[in-house]
Amino acid sequence: MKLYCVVLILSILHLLTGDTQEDYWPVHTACDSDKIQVRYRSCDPIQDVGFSFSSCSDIETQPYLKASILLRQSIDELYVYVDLLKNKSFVIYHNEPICVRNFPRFSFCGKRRGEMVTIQTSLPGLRVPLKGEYNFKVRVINQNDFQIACVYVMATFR
Amino acid sequence: MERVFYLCFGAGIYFLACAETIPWTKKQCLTNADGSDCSGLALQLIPDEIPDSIKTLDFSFNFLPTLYNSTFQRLRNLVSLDLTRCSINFIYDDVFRYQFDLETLILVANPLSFISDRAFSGPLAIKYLGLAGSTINSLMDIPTDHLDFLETLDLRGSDLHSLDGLLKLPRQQLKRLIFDLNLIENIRAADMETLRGTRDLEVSFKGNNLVDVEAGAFQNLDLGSLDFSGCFDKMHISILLKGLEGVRTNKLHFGLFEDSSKGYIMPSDLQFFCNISAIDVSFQMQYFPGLTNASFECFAEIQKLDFTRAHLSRFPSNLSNLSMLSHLILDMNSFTSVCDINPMNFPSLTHLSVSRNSEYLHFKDNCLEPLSHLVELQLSHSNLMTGDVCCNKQLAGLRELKLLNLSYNFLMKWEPLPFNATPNLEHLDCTKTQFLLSSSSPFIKLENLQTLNLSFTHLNLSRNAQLLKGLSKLRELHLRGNAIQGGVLAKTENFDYVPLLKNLHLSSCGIAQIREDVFKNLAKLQYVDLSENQLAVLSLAAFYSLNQIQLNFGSNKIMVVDVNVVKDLGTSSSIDLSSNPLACDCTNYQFIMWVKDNVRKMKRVGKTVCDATAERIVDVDLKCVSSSRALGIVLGIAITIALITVLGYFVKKGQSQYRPYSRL
Repeated sequence: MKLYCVVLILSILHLLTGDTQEDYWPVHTACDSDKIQVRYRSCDPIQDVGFSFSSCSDIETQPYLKASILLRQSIDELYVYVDLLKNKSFVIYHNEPICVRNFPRFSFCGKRRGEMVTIQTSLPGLRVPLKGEYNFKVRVINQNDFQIACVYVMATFR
Repeated sequence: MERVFYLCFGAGIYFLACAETIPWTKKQCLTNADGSDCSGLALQLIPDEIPDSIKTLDFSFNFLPTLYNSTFQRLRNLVSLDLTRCSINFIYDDVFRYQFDLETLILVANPLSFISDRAFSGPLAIKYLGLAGSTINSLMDIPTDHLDFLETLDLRGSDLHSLDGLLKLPRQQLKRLIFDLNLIENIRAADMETLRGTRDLEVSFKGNNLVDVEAGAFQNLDLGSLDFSGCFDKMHISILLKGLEGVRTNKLHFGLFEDSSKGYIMPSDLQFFCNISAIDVSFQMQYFPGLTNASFECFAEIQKLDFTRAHLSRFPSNLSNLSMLSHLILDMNSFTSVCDINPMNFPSLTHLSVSRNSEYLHFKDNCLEPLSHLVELQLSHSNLMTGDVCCNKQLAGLRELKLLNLSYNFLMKWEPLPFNATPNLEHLDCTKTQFLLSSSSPFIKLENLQTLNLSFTHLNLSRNAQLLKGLSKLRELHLRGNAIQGGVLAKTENFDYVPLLKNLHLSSCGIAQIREDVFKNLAKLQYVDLSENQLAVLSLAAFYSLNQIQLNFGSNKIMVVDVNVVKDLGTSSSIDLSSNPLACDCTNYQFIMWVKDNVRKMKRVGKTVCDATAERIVDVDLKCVSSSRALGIVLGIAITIALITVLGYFVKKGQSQYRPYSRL
């Protein structure tokens, strides 16, 4: 009797076997203040990514960005694609070449697989006063169409 | 009876389960005849399943803190070994003693704290040594005694403070020295003296914050390339130019980066070039205040100048001594007219690029007429203003022109034959530049045209049926992003005019159906891109032949592939079905099996994945009782019913046997 029960249970388990597990990276906070909160989560299947702002208060003046990405492939070419969604509806799509073979805009262009790209820089301030929740999807792609990084950024302006 | 029920039910469920997909993610090295890819598996030793005979081993992103002489002992045929980011701290003696053929050794991003002086001993033939980001503070720490065949030493981002130890490097075969993004501040004549006798060596100091370069440090060196991009945060370029006096090199890079300080090059600085022999000089992102007619008088030998984003809006009208210049790159500047380049300064120019201009760029009549040798003209993304009509007067005098890039510009009103002035044109790119036609066949005189790009130009192929008339030598045609009427790609007269076409790009055209006779006259087709369309059914009946053709059906809506369609693909043909919502159940079983047997015919296998699980098709471990899921289900039910029937028969028989006794 027990044997038959085992057969039945194993069969049902077999039926349910499937790769339904999806790895999610934790949500990190890049900055948090009374007026602005910026959180992000890696959407890359292989690795997490790190970035933070020195403080939220200077986002409108001159924010200081610190970011680090581990390279799983070389970046002789690098392109960034940004999708902006406001309250879950699509607003703007923007892409930008960062490294092109004949025009490496940044000193990290040309780094090899395994190296880190660490960016520490001041950014131009956000001139337009914003309200509500904005979601960005930032994807960074190299010359082989390989995804170097993918980040969901959630910015809340109160 | 209860037992029987469990048995039957279990068996039935089992067969149903077998008819489903059982995804399986690989967690082991991928090995083929020549090599193994074990990257990113958190391995702590070389797995036993790797054959001794492999030539390449990618062991990157694993954990191997110490390398002993036993670590790779059995892999004696290794030619290339990648140990990127393996947390290697110690490299002991004789690690590669038996790898006589090892040519490429990559040790990128390892915190190397100890390398034995005998680490590379043995009859090694290493040509490429990658030590980028490996925390090597000094060239002295690299044991170089057995690196006689070294061609490339990559030491970028390795915390190097000086060039001490350069003398130790074997120089017989040396071709590239990469010192990018280190902490080198001084370059002394004694350091560079060691490079004397080498020829065509490429040396890069990119991103080092140089403080001082000894005057004449590079004197009498004969180099292939010297890169000083982004080296001017702490030192003015004039100090470097003084140090470079007496050097002979093909390429010189003095560019800046967006993450480095601004730099100014004064006319007096350019006088140092009278004692520098170079062919190709890059000044990307530099500033040139106060350019005069005499600024480039020391550039008589220079053949290529790159002024990408050099903040230029005008060249002096009578620059002297640039008569040898053949290539001029003026991308991302702020010219307001093509005439402001003053083309008469560059009589030998063959290649001119004025792309991504930040201002409206007026393309006025006869501006480029002095450039009678011009072969290539790049004007893409330049806010080009062509006036009332285009393009014969604008291109006047450019009879030798072979490549013209007008892509990503404003609407142009074409003359009936807009490229009459450039009859030898071989490549024409008008991507995302709309044009108003004033004739049905504007390219009719371009007999030599081989490549034509009309992507995203709102072109209607069926309405302009004679557009391609005259292009009898066309090899490559881009029509991406031009909506096909009704989503049905039907036969067009246009394809009859281009019988030699090899590459055809029709992605993002909203194609939902392809008529069977569309490409039948294109016998030379070798590549067809039909990606990012709306195709739900894969059919290859439209092509003349499938013997030697690369087909891209990526990002369509294909769920199930009839294996009979792809079976006819020749041995040198391939198909890309990536990013389609492919079913990974038994409805697609035969196709999935075909993929496993014909991986070479599949392009972008990594992105050819199951819609439901995102697993690579080639990795799917599908167990189907028969060829289809339906048959699996039927079989499961059939067996269950059969067992119940048989058992029912025996129960009934048993009851009938005991019946006489019951009567008693």
